[in-house]
Formats: sequence, structure tokens, C-alpha cells
Amino acid sequence: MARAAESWSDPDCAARQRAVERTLEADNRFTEEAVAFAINQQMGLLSAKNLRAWIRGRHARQALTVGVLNAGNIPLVGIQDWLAVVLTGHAYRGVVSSRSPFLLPAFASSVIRHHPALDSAFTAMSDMWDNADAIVATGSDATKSWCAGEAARYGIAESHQLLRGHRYSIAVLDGKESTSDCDKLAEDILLHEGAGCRSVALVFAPGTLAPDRYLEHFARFRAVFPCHATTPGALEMSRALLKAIDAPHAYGDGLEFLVSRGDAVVQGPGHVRWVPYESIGEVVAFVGNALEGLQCVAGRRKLLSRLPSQWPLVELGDTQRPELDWCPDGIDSVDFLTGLA
Amino acid sequence: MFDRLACRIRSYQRANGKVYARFGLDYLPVSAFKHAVVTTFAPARAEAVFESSRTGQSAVSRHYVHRLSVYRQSVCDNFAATVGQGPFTILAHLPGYAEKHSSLVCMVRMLMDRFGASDSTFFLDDWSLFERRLDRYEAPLILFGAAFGLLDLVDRTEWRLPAGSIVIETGGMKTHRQEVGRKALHARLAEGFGIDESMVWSEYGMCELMSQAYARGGAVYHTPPWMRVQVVDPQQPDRRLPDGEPGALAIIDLANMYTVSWLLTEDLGVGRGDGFEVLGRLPASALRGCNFLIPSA
Repeated sequence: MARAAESWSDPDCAARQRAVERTLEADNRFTEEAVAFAINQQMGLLSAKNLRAWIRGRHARQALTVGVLNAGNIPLVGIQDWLAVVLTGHAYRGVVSSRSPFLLPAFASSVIRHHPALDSAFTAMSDMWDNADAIVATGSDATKSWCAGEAARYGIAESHQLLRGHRYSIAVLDGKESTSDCDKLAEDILLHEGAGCRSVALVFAPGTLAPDRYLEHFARFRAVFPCHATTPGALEMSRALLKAIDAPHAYGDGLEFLVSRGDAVVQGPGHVRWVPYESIGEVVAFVGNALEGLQCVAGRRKLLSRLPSQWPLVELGDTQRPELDWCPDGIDSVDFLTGLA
Repeated sequence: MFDRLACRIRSYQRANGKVYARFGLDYLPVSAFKHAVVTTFAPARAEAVFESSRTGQSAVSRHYVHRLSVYRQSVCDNFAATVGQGPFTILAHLPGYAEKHSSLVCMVRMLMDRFGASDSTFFLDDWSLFERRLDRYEAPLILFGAAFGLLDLVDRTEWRLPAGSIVIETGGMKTHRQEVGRKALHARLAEGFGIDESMVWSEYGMCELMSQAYARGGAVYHTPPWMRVQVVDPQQPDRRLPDGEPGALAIIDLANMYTVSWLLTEDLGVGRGDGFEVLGRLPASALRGCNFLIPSA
């Protein structure tokens, strides 16, 4: 595993290059820079030491066939599930999204070349359902309901279903963010065009705090990570609506990002909502009600120390850099897999 | 003919509606009705204001209706073409919708006035009234109801509607309890009311629209001739999606002549020939995740 990852860490790795080229041609909103970021970030985690520390010897009591439905909204999004299934000794039967069908299968092939005994295959949806003893799926809430229905239809017990629905992340500011913090916030919001549950969709900021300084960092981020060619077109309707209803908003040159000020309502990809607060108690109240739908609460380290520790707290700049052992929706996938029998 | 009218009305609405003029694009997201007064006339001259039901913390949509006569004609002409001229005994079970600003209640009241037999009635939470009325009926009747209310009714007891009766569910599952798929909902209603599943129909409408679409059994809705529903890319609504590919429902309702006719909904749907199917909700936030995994067939 680690050897394959080391090989994939090199941008000149032929298998990686081929998969990236095909991915960038698929119907998605991935940019070359964001794909490279995702691959490099993931591969940097896959050392033998890290993998051992994550798995901690946990192994399936009984090897089953685990069907995995991969979301495909950000590059290489299903890699943690793939690793968890094969490293715990189950058979993996994955379905890839048409939006990103190449990266994960290509990386899996590179690993299998070193470990031919790993039981892993990517397959069609119907074949996956026909063979799965357990299911792991990630998608919208509608996808989750549909999966639960299908799993029941195929006789997969609830205890054998790990279904993740729609989540999003927020950032909390206090105005004391450093230059580096502002750069990190830009990454948390704009990388992957705002897609994925770890991307920050709402920024809570003191009502007196002007967003200008942060917007400058968003523009700087876009100089390094340009938006996808379709982003300005996709944001045009949101910008036009904000203008029509006279809502305060700002946007980057060429509509590379969009920020609107208003209530805490999650907007579409690339459009972040700046939510003013008078006291941190308002944020606490919001998170109290929304906790079940939150993946991360990001902030600078000192501010995080003042927020409730049971929140899914991460430092600014860490939302797009999940550790191997992070638990999507607060559930440890390895525990789920090793508990199957 | 439709296209020419749609473009003329759009020009009129741009020239006379401040919000639509500022918007500048064709399909106005329905959420605009939550944040602004969307009219081509002075709001004080509205004959009615339709409001969406309140769900959670979200703002309420307000649709200022300039001429109720336009609404009446749209509602009644469509119903006559879809169901018939009547008279029908129309019963309506719309708990939670009994507010004076409900477009649904207004619609059913208009239908009762035009097509209803004298014993047509709302029975709201008074289930015993339904029970007593049902005992008297042998002729087919039409039962309108929000999906959750109808489920409550069949959960209470098994009913046996007269043969040929039609149950028309008006959606609204999300406001009440856990979502139930359409197929399961229709099967449960057919069983609970003792009718064939083909007699469980659906109505698709919203407070921002003057017109409705009906599915006469099954999943596929059809619109009246003055309304068009297309499935589009939710972020680029000028990109129409082919039949079978899920996307956002974009509507042109010519009866919305005094507000905005070209609207982008937050509903996920799929084109089916000359009709469409509604798959669920599609708020902007959901576009951050992966929404198109579900096979829609």
C-alpha cells in the first residue's frame, strides 16, 4: 500500500497521469490544481506507520463482501472507504460515480499490483447490490433514503448499512485571524469549488467585522487555485438573484467566487454565506440545532479552545486535509467494518 | 404559440417588475419570493397573498396575487380537462394547511364552488365527519389531501371509498414526518382507502404558481397547455437536460402573468416524454454533495 502511495506521490507516475487526464475530461468540476492537491494530500498519509496506527490490528471477524457507493463530488473521495474495507480483510465491490470514475480504480490497481490477493473490484450498481453483504454509501439525503430502501430490498440488515447523508462545514471567525489563517480559510471554502461535506459553506463572523481583508485572501487563493471554467457560469444565477433581491454580496474578478451576507442558509457550490453574529452565543445556539448536519467547525486554534469540545472542531486549513482516521459523520468506518458478522 | 406568448409575457414582466428586471436572466429561483416582493403591480392592489407553509427556520414565500379570477380560471380549466365537469362530491383533508393564506385551500375551495356537489366539504381534523359522510356515499367521490394527512387518516383505520373514487394527494411529506417514497405512499393510500392504485392521483403545485400539474395514477405529471415544465441543470437553467436525466424543474407558467412566469424550483425531477416525474427536493445546498446517484427509472 505504502509503496503504491509513494509511487503515486510523484506527479510523473504514469498510472496517476493517465487517471488524472481522464478525470479532467469527465463531466465534473475538478481543476487540475485541485486534483493534484487531493492526490498529494491523500498519498502523503499512506505511510506504513500511519496505516498501522489507523487500523490498530482491527480485522474482520468474518470476511464479507462490502458494497461501496462512491460519491464522486471531489477527487479521490472514496479512498478512505476502499482502504478500510480491504485492510480489514473484507471483499470490496465499489460503484464509482460517472463524475469521477478513474482515480480510485487506478490507485486500487496500483496497490493490487503489489498485493494481488486483495479482493477488490469496481462494478455496476446492480452487480454490487446482488453481491453485497454490507453497504457503505455516501451522498445526498435522497441518496441515503434510496440506499436504505434498496438495502432492505436486497435483505441487507440495518446493522450492515453505513449510510452517510448530506453534511456541510462552517467556520467561526473572531477577527483576530492572521494572514496565514485567512489563506487557510480561503482553502477551506474554495478548494474543490466548495463541494464536499468538509468544505466551509457558512462563515460566522462578528457583526462589526468587515469581510474585505478575507475577500482579498480569497482572490489570492484563486490566483494559485483557479476556479473551474464552469464556476462563473454556475454562480451567475446566484449573483443575479442576490442583485434582484437587493442582498449584500461581493464576488471575485470574473465571478471566481461569491460571498453573500445574510442568514445561516447554505448556498450552492462556490457561494459562501457570511453570517454576522453579535455574540458567540448565537453561534453556539446555531450549532446546537445544526450539529447533526455538520461535518467540521473550523476556526483559529485559540478560538477553538473556547468552543464546546464535543463539536467536530478542526483548525483553519485542515478541512481539506482530513487525517486517515477521521470519522465521516462521526462514525468510525473501521469499527463498523470489523463489527460486521 | 406557447413560446411566443412566454417571451412576450417575460418582456412585460421585465418591464414592469423591479425584481425580475434586476435579475436579468430568464428563470427566477422561487426563493426570490421569500426575500422580495415579486410583482408587476403595486402590492397593495393584490387581491390575495398566498404563503408557503412554514418549515423550520426558513423564511416564508409570499405570492401577491393581482387577480384571483386568473387563478380561478387556471385551476378550474385544468381540473375540468383532467377530472371532468362534475358535479363531484369533493372532500378535502388538509390539516395544517387551514390558514387563510394557503393557495391549496383556496384552490380546493374554488373547485368545490365550481365542480362540487352540495355535500362537498373540508373536514380538516374532524375525522368523524369524514366517517359519517362516508357512510352516506355510494357515488364516487374525490378526496383531496396533503400526503401526510391522508397517511394519518389511513393509519387510523381502514376506509372503503365508493368504487370509482379518486384520491388526489398534494405532496407535502417533508413538512410533517419522515419522507415516504411516492410508490410506497400510493400503495399505502390505495390499500387504506380500498381503491385501485391507479385511482391515487397526485397534484403538483406551489404557492408561487397559479397553475398545477396532475399525475393521473403513476408518477408522471402533465401540465395544462399554458404551463410548461422542463428539467434543467440547476446551476445553469438555460441548459435543458435530456429525458431520463435528473435535474431541477424549471417552469413557465403563463398564468403567473402579474408576477414572474419563468421560475426555477428547488425540486428534483426527470423528464418523461411529454410529462415529468418529481424525485424529491433539490435545495442549492444539496449541490455541494452528490445528488445524481439514484437511478430514476
